[in-house]
Amino acid sequence: MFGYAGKIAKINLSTGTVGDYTISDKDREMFLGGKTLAAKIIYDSFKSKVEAFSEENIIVITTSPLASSTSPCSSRFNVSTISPLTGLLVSSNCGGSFGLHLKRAGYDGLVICGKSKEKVYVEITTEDISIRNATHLWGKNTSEVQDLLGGKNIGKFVIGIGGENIVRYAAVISEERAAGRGGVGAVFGFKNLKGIIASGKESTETFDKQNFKNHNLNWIKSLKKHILTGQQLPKLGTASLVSMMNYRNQFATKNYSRGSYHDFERINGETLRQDHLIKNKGCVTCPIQCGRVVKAYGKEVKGPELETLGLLGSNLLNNDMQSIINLNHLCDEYGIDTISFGSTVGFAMELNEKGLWKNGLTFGDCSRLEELVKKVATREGIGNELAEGTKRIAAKYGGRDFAMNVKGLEIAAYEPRAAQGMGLGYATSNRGGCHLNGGYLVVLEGLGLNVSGRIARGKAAYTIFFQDLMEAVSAGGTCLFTTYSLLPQVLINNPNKSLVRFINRVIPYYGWLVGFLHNNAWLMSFNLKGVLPHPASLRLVTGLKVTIGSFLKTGERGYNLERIINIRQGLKSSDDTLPKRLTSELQRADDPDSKVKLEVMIQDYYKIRGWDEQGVPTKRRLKKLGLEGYSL
Amino acid sequence: MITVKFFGLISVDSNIRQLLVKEGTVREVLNEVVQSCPNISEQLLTQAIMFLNNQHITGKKRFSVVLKEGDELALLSPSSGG
Repeated sequence: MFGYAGKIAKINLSTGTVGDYTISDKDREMFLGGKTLAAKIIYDSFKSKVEAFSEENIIVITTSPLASSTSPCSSRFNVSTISPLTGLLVSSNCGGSFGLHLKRAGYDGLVICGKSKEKVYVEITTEDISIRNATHLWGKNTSEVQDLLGGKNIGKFVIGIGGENIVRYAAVISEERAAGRGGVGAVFGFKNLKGIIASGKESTETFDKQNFKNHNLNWIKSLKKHILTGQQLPKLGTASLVSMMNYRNQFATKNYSRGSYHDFERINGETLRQDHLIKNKGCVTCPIQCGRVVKAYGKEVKGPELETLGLLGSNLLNNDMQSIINLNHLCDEYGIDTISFGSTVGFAMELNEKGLWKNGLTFGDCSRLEELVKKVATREGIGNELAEGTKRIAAKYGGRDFAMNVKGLEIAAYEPRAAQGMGLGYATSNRGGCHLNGGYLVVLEGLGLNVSGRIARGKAAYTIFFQDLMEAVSAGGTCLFTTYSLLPQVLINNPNKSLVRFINRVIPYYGWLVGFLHNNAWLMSFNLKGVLPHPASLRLVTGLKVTIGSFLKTGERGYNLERIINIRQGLKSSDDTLPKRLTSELQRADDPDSKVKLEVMIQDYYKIRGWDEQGVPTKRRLKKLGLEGYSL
Repeated sequence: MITVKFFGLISVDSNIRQLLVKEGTVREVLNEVVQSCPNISEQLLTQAIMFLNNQHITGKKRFSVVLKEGDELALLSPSSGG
């Protein structure tokens, strides 16, 4: 089949055996790749609830049809498993080069099952898959272990000491890029799997080479021309958001007790650029180059993203940019998610402040934080408790109302009381408190367009639309930043014009139309390459009849399948919620709208999704999505 | 004096983070900014999202708002995502 290597390997760490995992062409057509294909494999692999730390849990790594093509920003790959933080399905996306090399080795994906008795790593080449002894790699940081595993033209995907010690929010690292969220690294560690390397020179066939080439050239041109992907992200990185979020009260501060930080100018994108930036960096085939290269401990390293600036900065009242850069680097080296780490430390600080857990951690005192990362990674002293994440710490010490997680996954740096749609997204996201899987509606609510973040009207439909779009783009293996081309530049560039302000005001009133289109995707059985290039790219690579409508339907199919897996894992509608701080405490005492009006939005959300009042996908909806055989 | 702060592309392209200017209306303040910073075009400033003392000001009326001693005017270019 065009675009695919045609093979998925099944590696059993308990028996040390390797075989093929078979999927059909119909499965590829229905689920494309990435997280949606991984969901299909995980659904089929489990008959009932599976614990994260059990031999039955599997790790599924998937690429996409675009992974080894020249499509812009499309080298991303996915890793899915049952999360040790949430007990639900987690899909973590990574921009490192491992996916590209896996595909060049001749594999679309890997299914890793069982648990090794010995410490091992897996080596994948075109000729062979070997499970090798990793004793000499154990105890090594992620950069050191990648150095030891070979030079260029080898894709590496490894855990650090955090994963070895089963920190519940441990990450897996490829180059300096992290599959950070949900504790995938802890599952690697539980399985005694230090990492995977892949290399090869295989290539996949492209259905329509010439038109694909032309399409890519046009796509790259449009990305470079767009103000967000062509200017803002290359010049300031994701850190560009700090200032706007702060002014809009969307910047998580002091464990989300407020939405702005008085010292934000010391940790914003402008300061990162002016005082620390050495050069830009990007993933393979990326024309945007949003990555920052900065210095930590005398070395050139990856700079902090927006989420990290929030969670390790304002959230802890840490105004020291170099401290954040150092912490970010240490988290990468130990293989720890910066978002969950920062949120957990912030929660511990507030527990200490309230006298619920005397742990010595204080907001604004960041002198101990670098030492604390190591303690978490090694589970030493207080680090052993912090390694459990906010949900479990709250169960022990209290403070559940301000333990800033959804379903166990710590929420990102966007304070949702000033972005209702983002709040709904956090509450309903399949992997827990994730901004991207949640639909990232904040991009309409002040960070791209200027739709009011205070109102709930229409947000359910838009949230669903963007959740499904993100899901589909991930399935295609493309960076989510490429979706910004959906936002018309004329609306972004002219926020003060009367017509633009009018459009921003009326957008929420057209939620019904977005909901209607979502539920009638067949009306979009066409491609508009200039607006959404992804479906056309997939069509040209695979030869499948991918249109905007079918692309969004793939996203919806994936979202529903993930929901079914989660319900099988024990998810209830009562879990589609937020910490009480966000739904009950006003962000600003003089503004009654400064809390997330979740109860207003959630039933609309279920209704438009075609789920019943308990948040369970109806048989009718599953049939519509071609999922009629997929039961709870 | 009024403190004018620049964020996003306005800051990057002009290489200026902040400027102190005399009191006056927003229009007068922006004119002074354009005169002081040749790298910043008037168009860029009128497109900017404005916050006066952390409050969003928008619409044509924003130009006639009078800025007083100690006020802070923030000018932000559009943002994106992370």
